Amino acid sequence: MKVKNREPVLKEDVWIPSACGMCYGDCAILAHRVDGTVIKIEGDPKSSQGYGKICAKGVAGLQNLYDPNRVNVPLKRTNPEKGIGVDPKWEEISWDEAMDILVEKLDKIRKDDPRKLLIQATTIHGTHLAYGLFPFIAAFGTPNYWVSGGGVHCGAGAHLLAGMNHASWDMVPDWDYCNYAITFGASHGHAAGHSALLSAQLAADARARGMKLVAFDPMANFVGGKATEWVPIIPGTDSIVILAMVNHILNELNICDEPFIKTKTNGPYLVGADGLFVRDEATGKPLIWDQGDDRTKCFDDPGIGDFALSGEFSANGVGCKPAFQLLKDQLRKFSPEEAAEISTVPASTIRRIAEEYAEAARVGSTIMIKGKELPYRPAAAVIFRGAQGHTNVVHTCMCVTLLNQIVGNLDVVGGAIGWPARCLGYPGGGNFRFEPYPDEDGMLVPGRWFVRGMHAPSCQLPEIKVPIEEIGLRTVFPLQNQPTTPGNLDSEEIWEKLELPYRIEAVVNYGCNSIMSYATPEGVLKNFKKIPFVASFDLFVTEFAESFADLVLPDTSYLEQLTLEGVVPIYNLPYGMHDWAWHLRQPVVKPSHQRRQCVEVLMEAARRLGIFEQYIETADHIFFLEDPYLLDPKEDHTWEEICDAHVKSQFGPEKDLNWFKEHGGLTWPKQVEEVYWRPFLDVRVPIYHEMFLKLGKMCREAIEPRGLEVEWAQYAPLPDWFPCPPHKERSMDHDLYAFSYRDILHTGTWTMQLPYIDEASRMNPYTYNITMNADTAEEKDLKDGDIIIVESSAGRKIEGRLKCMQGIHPKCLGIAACSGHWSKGMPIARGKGSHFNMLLEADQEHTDSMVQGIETSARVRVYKAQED
Amino acid sequence: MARWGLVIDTLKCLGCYSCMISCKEEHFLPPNVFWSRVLISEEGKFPKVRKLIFPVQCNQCDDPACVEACPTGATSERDDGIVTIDYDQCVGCRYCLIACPYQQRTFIPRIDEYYPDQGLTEYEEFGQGMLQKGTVVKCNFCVERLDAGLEKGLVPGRDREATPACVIICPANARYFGDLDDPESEVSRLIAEKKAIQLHPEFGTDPSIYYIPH
Repeated sequence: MKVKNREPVLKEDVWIPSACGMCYGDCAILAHRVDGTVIKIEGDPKSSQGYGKICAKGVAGLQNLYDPNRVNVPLKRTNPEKGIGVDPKWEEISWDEAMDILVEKLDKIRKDDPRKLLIQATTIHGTHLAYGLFPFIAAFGTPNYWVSGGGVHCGAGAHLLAGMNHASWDMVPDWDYCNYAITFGASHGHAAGHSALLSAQLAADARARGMKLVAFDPMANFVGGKATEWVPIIPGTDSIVILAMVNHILNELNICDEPFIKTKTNGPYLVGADGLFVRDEATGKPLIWDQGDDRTKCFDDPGIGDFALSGEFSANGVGCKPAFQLLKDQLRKFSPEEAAEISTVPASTIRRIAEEYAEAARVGSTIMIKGKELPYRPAAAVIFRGAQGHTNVVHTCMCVTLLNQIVGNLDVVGGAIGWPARCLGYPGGGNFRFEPYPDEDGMLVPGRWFVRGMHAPSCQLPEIKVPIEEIGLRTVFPLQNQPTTPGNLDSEEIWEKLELPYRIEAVVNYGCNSIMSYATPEGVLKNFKKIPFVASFDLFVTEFAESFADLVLPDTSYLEQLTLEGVVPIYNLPYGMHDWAWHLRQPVVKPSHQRRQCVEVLMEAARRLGIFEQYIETADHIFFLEDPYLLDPKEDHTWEEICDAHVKSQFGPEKDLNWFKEHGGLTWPKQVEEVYWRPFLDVRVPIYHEMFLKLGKMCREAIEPRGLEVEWAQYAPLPDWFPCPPHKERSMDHDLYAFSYRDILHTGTWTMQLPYIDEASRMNPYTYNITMNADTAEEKDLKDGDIIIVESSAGRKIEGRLKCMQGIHPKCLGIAACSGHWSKGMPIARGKGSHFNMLLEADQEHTDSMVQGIETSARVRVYKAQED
Repeated sequence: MARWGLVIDTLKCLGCYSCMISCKEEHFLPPNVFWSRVLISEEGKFPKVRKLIFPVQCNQCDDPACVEACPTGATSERDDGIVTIDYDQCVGCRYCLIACPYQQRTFIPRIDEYYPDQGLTEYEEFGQGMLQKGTVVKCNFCVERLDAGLEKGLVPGRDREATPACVIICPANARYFGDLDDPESEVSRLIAEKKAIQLHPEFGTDPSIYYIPH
């Protein structure tokens, strides 16, 4: 833009490269700063991290910078009472006083029992969580952290299965080559997600060139609205549909990528009557049946002629079958007719889509890319929060993975691909390199995970420990991605049963609004109200801060801070053959008022607490620092020095922090072997989850005597159908399934405070309204604009304005995003939309038995507000 | 002389509002003033439903009804087809609002602040003077970007600096900008190949915006 009236006096007119921070997509941006004021945000066209495109939230981000409602000075609660609607009676205090209070409280806790500190953080800035907070968490000595929305909205099971199968946080159709994509409650490329803007462009191009997109979704809005075929479905029933599809493909159509199953999965491993692999007595390795020699061999025997996938054999004196045979047997019980009854997807549709998909996958075909002949499987199925946000999450994710496995499309051209699992390194040097490797059973182990040292999902058996030592249940449900207990109604009961020897006495929160982003606020209220000290780094006085914070500390926005965006390499980096891109987020303006970046404040706290040495030791490890850039823990270091050491360790001495500040990001071309790595690495993925079986036995032994209700049948090696609480609801009155969905305009709980986004949300027919099928509404004598009450079967109520739509399942009710704010500190957002999460129960019954994900749909009834 | 035009691929468009908001930011548009909007609805009956998404803005018509209606000459059509408004000449009579069959013009009675009763932000302060209260406004195809870019020898539709803000930002690459008079341009080719259509051609104003149907 040209600033006409300022032209004669312009002293400065610059475009500063950085990374967006309005969601976890971290797109590359350029911020236009004129005479010290940011007046425009655009995408950085030089980067494959979005190719110059950004979404409405990213454009509107400058309103986040200049919002007059930002917290600009530290605030102290003077009203000792806490809770929803209680006036905290804030008093503005100096940073000196705030730091004195913070350090004094934390010091007391640490000397007593450091585990009594809970770190709560937003998932939106995952890198800040990983690299700003984890060194502090480790140095302090607490195992407790919680990303509340993570439990509800993230991929509790999707991350698990993507980790085990793709060495990645998630998976996406290889849009550049895919001809047939199926989404199960996933909005990759259509509303949000990791690498959101690269996905949006590639998915749009794919649709334009004729790719068929089939969306299983209760609503034809974002992905459903753009799909070639929208398949309305009852929430939480995706797995039975997929089981029927796979049954049809394997047992009726007899389509299967057998070479893939034989060499890239544990399908040929022999399973005994006990459900465990039959192992070689000398080496302990799983055995397979070589149909060339008609005898057993270890799975990795170089002399295997042909792996048997079917039949019955005898090994080590016991009867056994290949795992793949057991899978095929298991699938026979899932007919499209039964699936249709449960899901409402017609049996003929299930069969047809299965046939189209299997045919589109072109099993056995190859394609030449950059001179390499590679497997070509241009069909993919993906899943995310919509389909996986239910108590059958792991099985649903296993099912989607299975749909991919049987056609051999994992990380091959056109198939389901991860966010890069393999990097052979930046050509200019450094240690930015990783790749999956096999464990003793030949199964895939990811090369890098969220944070260095964090247990990555794999087929290796994790440890079980009771009594528990952390408030989350990771040591008894080790597959869990994020704990849920901090916000549950029955947490105290669980902690007692599992003998947690202490309770939380202090919370340090980084930008997380758990009272809105988790399930019913009642659980968070119950647990947090009694915590004596809560310090909250925030941009606004959120509902969480208003309800609980003793101290609110003015944080910097993403346009005022320095962070290392590429440090979590398992998502967000460009996928497919699109160049590597690694970006810095840097201040485009200096923080105004008394705003301070959270990580720097915590570093100062660490110095004053006497734990800075441990902080730097942890940073050295998790930041992949290497000689000569290792930081001496005995010396003082700034956040800038840590960032500088990190980038030089990763990319060599020439690419220091100043280089990144000038250029914003580093890009370099990918090699075929990095993207379509599957044929090049000898690792297998699980079709048969022996580990789940073993783990279930161990967990059951540890937990059952303590009286915790767990659906143990879910710890099964093969995917199965498990109804969720809303499916089991017997009340005929509560006739609708309420669900929430990702709206392209919103992330987390903060985007409704952006006036531009608020304007768009008000213009959109659905964003702030409660959407119901038009015929269902008519039956209930309801119409557009009616103010309605939605009441869950547990009696929880929300109010909102009705919008009728044809493109929503007649048995469902859709509510977008996380709206319904009530904090006075967020006046633009306040009172807009309806707070869906209020309808969700937060207890063990509504938590899945494997990864501890919360059930995100609820059975409800609806009536006009005046009838209440 | 080129005639600038825009092609919007409705198959690719996601309805994300990025164009609308980027436009607002580019032109410092106050609350409730839109030079570009996104209309969302649906057609069909469950389960055979189609979501309809139409981004709309001034069509930069080749035979513009607004120009004819303007009594002061404030609204005029440039040689390159862009219809502009000279705020100094606009008296706010709003005849053009009535004349525009596409309802793409807005009268600004006052410049509101985005945070009610909290004053203008630093960004909004910066934009003071870009618009004048008491005048009519509408999309100008980012004529400032175009002209500045052309002066530097850049190509609108290809080079970021010379291309309208709504086009360069589009996350689905659903917008194509270029010269409608050049039969070899990408926009001309898309209109021919994809059978792109003008909205309501029966209005007879010959819009410069075309939509690729889906």
